[in-house]
Amino acid sequence: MAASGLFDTYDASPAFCEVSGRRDDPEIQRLFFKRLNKQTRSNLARRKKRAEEELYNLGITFTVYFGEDTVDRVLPFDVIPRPITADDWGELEAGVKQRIAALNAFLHDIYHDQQILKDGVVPEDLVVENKYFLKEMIGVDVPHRNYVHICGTDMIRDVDGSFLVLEDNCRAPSGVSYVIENRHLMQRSFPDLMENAKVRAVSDYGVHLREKLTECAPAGVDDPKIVLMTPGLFNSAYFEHVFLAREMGVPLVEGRDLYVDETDAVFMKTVSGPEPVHVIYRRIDDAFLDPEVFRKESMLGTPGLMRAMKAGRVTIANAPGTGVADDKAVYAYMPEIVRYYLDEEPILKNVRTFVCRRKDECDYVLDNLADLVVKPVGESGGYGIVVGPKSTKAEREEVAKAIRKDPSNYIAQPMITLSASPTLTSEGVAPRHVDLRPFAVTGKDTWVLPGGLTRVAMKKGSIIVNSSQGGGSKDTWVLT
Amino acid sequence: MTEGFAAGDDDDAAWRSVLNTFHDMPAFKKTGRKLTGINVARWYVLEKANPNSIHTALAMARENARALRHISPIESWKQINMLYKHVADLKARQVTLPKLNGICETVRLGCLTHQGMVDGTWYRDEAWLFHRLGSELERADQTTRLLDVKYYQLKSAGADEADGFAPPDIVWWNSLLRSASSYHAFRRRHSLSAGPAEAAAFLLFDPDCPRSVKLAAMAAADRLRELEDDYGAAPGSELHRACKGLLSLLEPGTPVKPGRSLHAYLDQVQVQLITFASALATRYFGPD
Repeated sequence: MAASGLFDTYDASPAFCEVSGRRDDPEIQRLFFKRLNKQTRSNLARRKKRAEEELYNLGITFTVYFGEDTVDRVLPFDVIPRPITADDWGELEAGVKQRIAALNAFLHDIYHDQQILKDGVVPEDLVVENKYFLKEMIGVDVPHRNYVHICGTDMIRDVDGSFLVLEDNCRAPSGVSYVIENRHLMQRSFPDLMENAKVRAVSDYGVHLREKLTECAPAGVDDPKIVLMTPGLFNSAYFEHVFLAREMGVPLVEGRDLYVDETDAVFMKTVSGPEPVHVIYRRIDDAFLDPEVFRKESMLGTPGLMRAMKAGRVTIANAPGTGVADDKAVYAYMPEIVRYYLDEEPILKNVRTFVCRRKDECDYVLDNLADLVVKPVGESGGYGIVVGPKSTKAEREEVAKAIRKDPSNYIAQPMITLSASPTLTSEGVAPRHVDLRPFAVTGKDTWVLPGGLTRVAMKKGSIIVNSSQGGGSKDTWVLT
Repeated sequence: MTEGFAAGDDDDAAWRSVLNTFHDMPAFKKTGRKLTGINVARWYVLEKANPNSIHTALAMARENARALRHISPIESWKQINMLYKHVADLKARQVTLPKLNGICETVRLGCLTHQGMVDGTWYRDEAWLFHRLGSELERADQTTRLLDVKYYQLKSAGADEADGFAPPDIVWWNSLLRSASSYHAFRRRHSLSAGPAEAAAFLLFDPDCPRSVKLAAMAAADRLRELEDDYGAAPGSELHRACKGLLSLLEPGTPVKPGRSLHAYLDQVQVQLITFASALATRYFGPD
């Protein structure tokens, strides 16, 4: 290693390090330990500031509302990319594909014969009484039996470097716009670091997404009209909706731009009259999708979408009712679900999960709160999580009370030492914990974007990477 | 363009193709500098001896603008003057790979700002028509050169000429479209199956794409007609022929395949653009 390089004092132990843990890879050696190591902290810091200004100017932001005030925030951007070797990626890609195949088979089953429930592999009440289980989907057939068109699997790495699935996001996983924009930013702002780098391209995500959605069009429609449905410009992820519509070259619509006629066909209102719509990538929750069926007061959806879907006139992506599959308690059964439908061993492991609805596991959780991470099953965005080893006694007592009151609402997992990746901090390059959300799109088959959203906990020692809790992001380099 | 080239698999090849596109390889070799990304970038940003450099282009634009100061809006002169000074003040050591995008962005925004000023402030007289006419021809020419980069890239990568060119590379075409601010419009306009041939055709023939050769040629023809109809500028048969020749070359149905045939076709378009520009010069800016 060069004298007084950026990595001289870098030490991620006991965590697995995404860079030094794979230092034998020649491309990692060249790009990180030779090239990046020569940079100075102050130079990188200056360029990071400019890069973040660029993100703001381009409007690659999420919006936070304080009463009357609108604040556009950029996701903090770390300039040191997180690499993934070709071998690691191969395993991860195969694992994600397997997982999605199992999730789709599971969703088809629970909305049809419910064989897996009859066979007792997954408790029946866990599924049919789940708040995301939609009775309206029972018996409904969807093209290619595909429910999860877009999936963002949250992955972490254990101390030995093995990938673990933390969560399957089967509803409307967000963040893919950052994957592509972070790359474009790196290419523009850090051409010296990227020069000749053998990194797989991510910029054609829009084309792949459109291709997979096209494959899932209702039968008999060869050149389907696809639209992207947004709750509107007040949604915090509105930039991503704009981005996806632009990258696919499809119209961005709100519920009021569409209508369903008496033959159950869906149309978009245009200046030249109604235009048929065949596929809707919706970034709007099930509950707001169709006021005829779900929340009556919803102004965001389009009345009649559910009957149009049931009549096979339109494809809704992701399909309604997929939320039941990424429920944190159902998650605990994913290894069995994979074996049950595919007759294969899961390629990607779960984090060991204690389901508090099971008496014995609940007792164990209550006895070991100080060592476990407790999560409410229906929450997302990192809300309501109690990290045992970092909690106060009062916090543990409070969560114990909540678990006793409603055990089904909680799961617990052992504290995992998340992998770390070198990150630019005020003290120099230091390890910060990261996770990974690879994005997969499925039509007749599944394509996984070679990259993914690497979220990074910017605070020393923190394992909470969520943007709502101050996390940032990195460009993710899948090496060839 | 920095995006497409910086990310290339083999950067030297990518930069070599830029030199070849502008037929600058011999002149660059004469400088004795090593063919690296940053040296080529400096050659195109700063080099006074390079007639194709940004510095030279701005210096020439500034001299032209000086000659037109009595007719053109004050804003237009000021903008060119400022942009020229910005580039002329750059030192070689300030032009580095990390800073290249920022420099290009400043120049790009400076040019677009100037264009907006001309559009928003210039009295619509014959001088404005000539200015537009020249801009359209220049744009048409630059788009053909952008499209030709691929040819030189494949050639320098050693593709087998006899066998036509290497498999078309859609990722490269996408990044080319992005460089021309045309990617999103292309995606909206075309179905999913659109590939390299459609991408090339979009930048050549799309009548609504502001970067297309077709739109520029049509606009040039319109300006010429206005000069004739409104100002009695009497272009004469040679200029009329050149303009018609360019438009007929851009009729739909011209077979376009990326690779060699595209290169041959672009060559034809460039020859026709030169004919047009020469006819203009002879008719209006000649010695008599």
